[in-house]
Amino acid sequence: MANSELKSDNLFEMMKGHLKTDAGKELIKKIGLVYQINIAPKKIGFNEVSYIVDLKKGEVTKGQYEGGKPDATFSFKDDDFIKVATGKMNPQIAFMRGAMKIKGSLSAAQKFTPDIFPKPAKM
Amino acid sequence: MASSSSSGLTFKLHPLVIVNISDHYTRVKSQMNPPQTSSSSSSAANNNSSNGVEHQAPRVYGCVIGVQRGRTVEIFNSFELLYDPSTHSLDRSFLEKKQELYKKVFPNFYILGWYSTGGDAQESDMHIHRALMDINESPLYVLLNPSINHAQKDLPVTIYESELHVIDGIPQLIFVRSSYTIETVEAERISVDHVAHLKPSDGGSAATQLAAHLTGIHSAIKMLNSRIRVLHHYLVGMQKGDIPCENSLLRQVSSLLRRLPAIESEKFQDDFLMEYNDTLLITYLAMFTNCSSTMNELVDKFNTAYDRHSRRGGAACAVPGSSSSSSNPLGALANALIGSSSKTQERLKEIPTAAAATSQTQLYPLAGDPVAALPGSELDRPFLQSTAQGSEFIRGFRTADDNGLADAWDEIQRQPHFDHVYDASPAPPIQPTLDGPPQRVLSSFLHSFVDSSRSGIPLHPTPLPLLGLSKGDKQCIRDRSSIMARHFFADRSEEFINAQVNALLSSLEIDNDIHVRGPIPGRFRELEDYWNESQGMLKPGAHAADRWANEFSQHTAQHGDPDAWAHSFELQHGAAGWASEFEQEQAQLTSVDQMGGGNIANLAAIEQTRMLAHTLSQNDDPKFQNSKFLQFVSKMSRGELMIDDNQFKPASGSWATEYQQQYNTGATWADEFVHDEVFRGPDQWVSEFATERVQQEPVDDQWVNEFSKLHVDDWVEEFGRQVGEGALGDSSSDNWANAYDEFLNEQVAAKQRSDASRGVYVFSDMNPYVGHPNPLKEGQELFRKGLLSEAVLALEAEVMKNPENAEGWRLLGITHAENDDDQQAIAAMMRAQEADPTNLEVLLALGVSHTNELEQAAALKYLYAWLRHHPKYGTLAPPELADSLYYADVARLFNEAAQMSPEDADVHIVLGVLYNLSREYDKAIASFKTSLKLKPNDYSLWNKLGATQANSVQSADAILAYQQALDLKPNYVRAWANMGISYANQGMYEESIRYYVRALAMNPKADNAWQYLRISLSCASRNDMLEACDSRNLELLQKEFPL
Repeated sequence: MANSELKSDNLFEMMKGHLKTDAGKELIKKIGLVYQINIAPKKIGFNEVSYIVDLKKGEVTKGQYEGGKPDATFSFKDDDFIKVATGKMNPQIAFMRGAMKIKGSLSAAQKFTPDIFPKPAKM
Repeated sequence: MASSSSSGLTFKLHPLVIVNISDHYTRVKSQMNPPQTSSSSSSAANNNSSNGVEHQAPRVYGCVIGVQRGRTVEIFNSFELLYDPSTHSLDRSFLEKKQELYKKVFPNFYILGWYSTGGDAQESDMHIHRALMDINESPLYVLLNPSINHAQKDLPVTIYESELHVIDGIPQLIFVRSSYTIETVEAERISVDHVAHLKPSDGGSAATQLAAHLTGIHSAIKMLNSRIRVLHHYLVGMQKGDIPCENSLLRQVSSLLRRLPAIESEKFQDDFLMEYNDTLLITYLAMFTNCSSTMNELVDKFNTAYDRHSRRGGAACAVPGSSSSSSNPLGALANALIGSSSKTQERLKEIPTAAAATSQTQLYPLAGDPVAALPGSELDRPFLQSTAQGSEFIRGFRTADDNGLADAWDEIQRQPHFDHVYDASPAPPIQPTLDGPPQRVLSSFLHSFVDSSRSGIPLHPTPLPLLGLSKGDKQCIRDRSSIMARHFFADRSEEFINAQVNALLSSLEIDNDIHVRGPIPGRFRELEDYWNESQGMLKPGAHAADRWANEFSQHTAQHGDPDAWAHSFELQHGAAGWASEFEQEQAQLTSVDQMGGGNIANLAAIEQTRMLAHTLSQNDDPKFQNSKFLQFVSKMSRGELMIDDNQFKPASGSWATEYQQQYNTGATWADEFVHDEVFRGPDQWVSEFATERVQQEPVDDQWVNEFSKLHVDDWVEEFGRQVGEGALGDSSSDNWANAYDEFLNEQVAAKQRSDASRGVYVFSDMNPYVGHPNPLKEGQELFRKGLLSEAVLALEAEVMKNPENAEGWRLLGITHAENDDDQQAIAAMMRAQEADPTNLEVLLALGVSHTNELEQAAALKYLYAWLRHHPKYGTLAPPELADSLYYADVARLFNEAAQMSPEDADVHIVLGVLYNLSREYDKAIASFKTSLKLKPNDYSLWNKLGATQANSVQSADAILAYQQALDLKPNYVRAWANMGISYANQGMYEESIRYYVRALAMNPKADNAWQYLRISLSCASRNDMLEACDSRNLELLQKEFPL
């Protein structure tokens, strides 16, 4: 495991499993959109890693989206993404601060809330 | 065929019918294309071309409707009919349908007959006429002759009746002409008026329409006049006996004439005069207002032009007194109106771009003042126009020999401001209340002085009657005249000027001895003073209104009575208009100043900015407010970012640098906000930002000041207000408000948190255990009892007392970890590690906490350190590996260790944590299960197992594990919180809320739990409890969600 690994990787790994559970299926029913999330280690726009959170099919994949255009694309710094996903930071706050950048449909972006992400339990 | 009718019916025709027929005819004619003329209706005309109807002219047919009362037939209206060429008659079914429709609208109207167009009634018309006889037994036939005969004065309309005559032994229906009168009702008069006013061009303005109307009235009156003259001639002739006396005619004439004096009464005369005078006065007032506004414009333009000139010339103080006109419309108007124009012209000549003004239009011929010329007229087209209008008007005014007019004029002249206008040479203004002879004398004398300046004729001292000028007045006159003279006689020698001034002064009995200072070659001292004074006032900074006030008060001091002016000006412009006008002028001036600075691009930007600012300021839309607010929010948020980056400093200096950075690197954040369509007015925002940027470019410091002035509280209020107004947008406004609340909370906690994440332990305030004799023991006791929050306080007291107590720190760290506060746990553990770098428990705890925080590199480091410092396995770990840790290496080493001593639970624990890091949850679960067999009573181990299971999407199993942990340690906050997470991840939000609330009841400081609780609340659609969550109202939450 390299040091450059992102914290967000863990979350997306969890997400993969989470979407297969009943709660995850509920999400797919509720949202039904495809998000692309770009995670940058230090600064938005640099060395970004893209994740596709497909809440239509219930898949999380790393890399560019194959099936056309995602409904909305978000760009985060690694830390900020964790904050947003764990509810430490409200997406709106993140947006206001410039910690989150949005491309694409705004209505799709508004459905992007922390509750689509599973919460990591702590040891 | 047609003779006068004998039926004795009286026909009253309403104009509407004529208009209708004419309209119908015009419509048909214009719709008809020449090749189609032979079709339908025109064929009738062609057949009867012998009747003088034009070949191309179509015939139109329709029905006339109205009422018949006794012997009076009133034709009110008409409707169109279709001509049926096959039967050479009218389309009967169509007629019946129409009749029915009209019956509904006008139930009183009957079909009286029909109409058509043409020169005369024709034989074929009888055919149609007969056809109508079953509707009305004696229909009438209205014929309109569309061919215009200019010689004919009567209406080209004839009404025919049909009469049965026996001609040649055969009874025949023939048309007979009937006389008719035109009747109108009010509505028709209006419409006829309207039609009469319609101009063919239709592009006429109100003025041309008025002119047309007046021309119409004029010609009508002329006609009346000529008719009366005819009557007069006739009567005179009859009196002389040239024409035989005819009583019936005389009676008619007398009855006609009796109607004429109806408008010849005293009251009428009075009213008429009053009206006339009022109109004239209003016209005059309008003209005057126009004049003064153009005057203002001229002054503006002049100032602009002059300022530019003086900047270019680099002369700081060019022509003395110029600012008196630049900032003082009173003086400017007086200057413009009176002879000081020479100086203005002089200056205009100096302006390279503005051609010298030479055309001088007489504005006030009445005043007979040759110096009343306006300078720079061609600078300003509307100005010239209005001047011409004005003079024309005045001329008209003069020539009008109406008494009332003269009175009015006199009255006007007595208006105070008129005195100013006419007499306001630079002499002291004449008090309107003292409109006596001395003022008149003085004024005319001063005029002659000014005149002399024009002609260049030396002024001779003239004995004048005692004027009774005060000393102040005299001094004023002396000063002003000296200055004026210098301008008038700029091309003359100094002696000439002095002679002129002296002549004036001696005539006015002004003691030249007061004139101690004497004319200094080049410039006057007073002049300079005046110049400086007004220059100073021109300097930007003071508010425009204030400046005006200053200026005004100054003039009050100087002139004595500017009130009249103030009034008149206020009348013309309104106080507000005055201020705004000045502001505009000011804006122009400043922009010109900037232009003088040189940078063209800058100038354009500034100009644009000004315009933008102007438009924005005019926009009372909440969007604007909103955008302003948003701008501020973003500024703030920028600042907040710094807090997150652990660089927060309260000093405003850092804000400034931040801002500058922001400015230099990122115009992008304007773009960023453009994307935000949640805001209703992002465009405004962006433009506003642009505005701000341009404005602030030179004055970044200003921004800092501005910012330091703004307290967080202010914008809390502002935010509240915005939300209150709903300006932030429909559904999202709540979100925003909440977001903001959260943001505030964060802000409060920010410093704390930033310290903690930096690894600095943050102590609680108001620790009751400080001063406790043995806080460590107390802490251990509390920890054992499970009172974690209390234990934290006790242990804090301990480590404050003994900062090197590794055990104290370690326990504190563990307590925090169990209390679900990893940041503090890490901080405490780091202190413990400092105190005792090789404590295995500390290292393990650090590894676990960093794993929880998803900080893999740090976690790996501590886990490796654990291995290295383990007395048993330390040999396995080569120290050189510590610098570049790879997960695979570490995992391999631990596996080796586990093989070395499979009975050591700790190795398995570490291995489990390690597998957690690499997300090999199955292996991790296996490791924890192995160690649990060895250590079944380790509640933290059960929790670790549960957490791992939860993270590997086995939430149901995780709950069992947590349950084990909680059985062992009921106050294990972390386990409670983890329970909540597991339930939440399974979508059982209600359950999860209960566990979160339970965890929070034990440790209200567990931020994570609060955040998760919030998410669960919103997922469970319990938005009603969000407020309780945000305000951390545990009591309410516990009551609502008991476990």
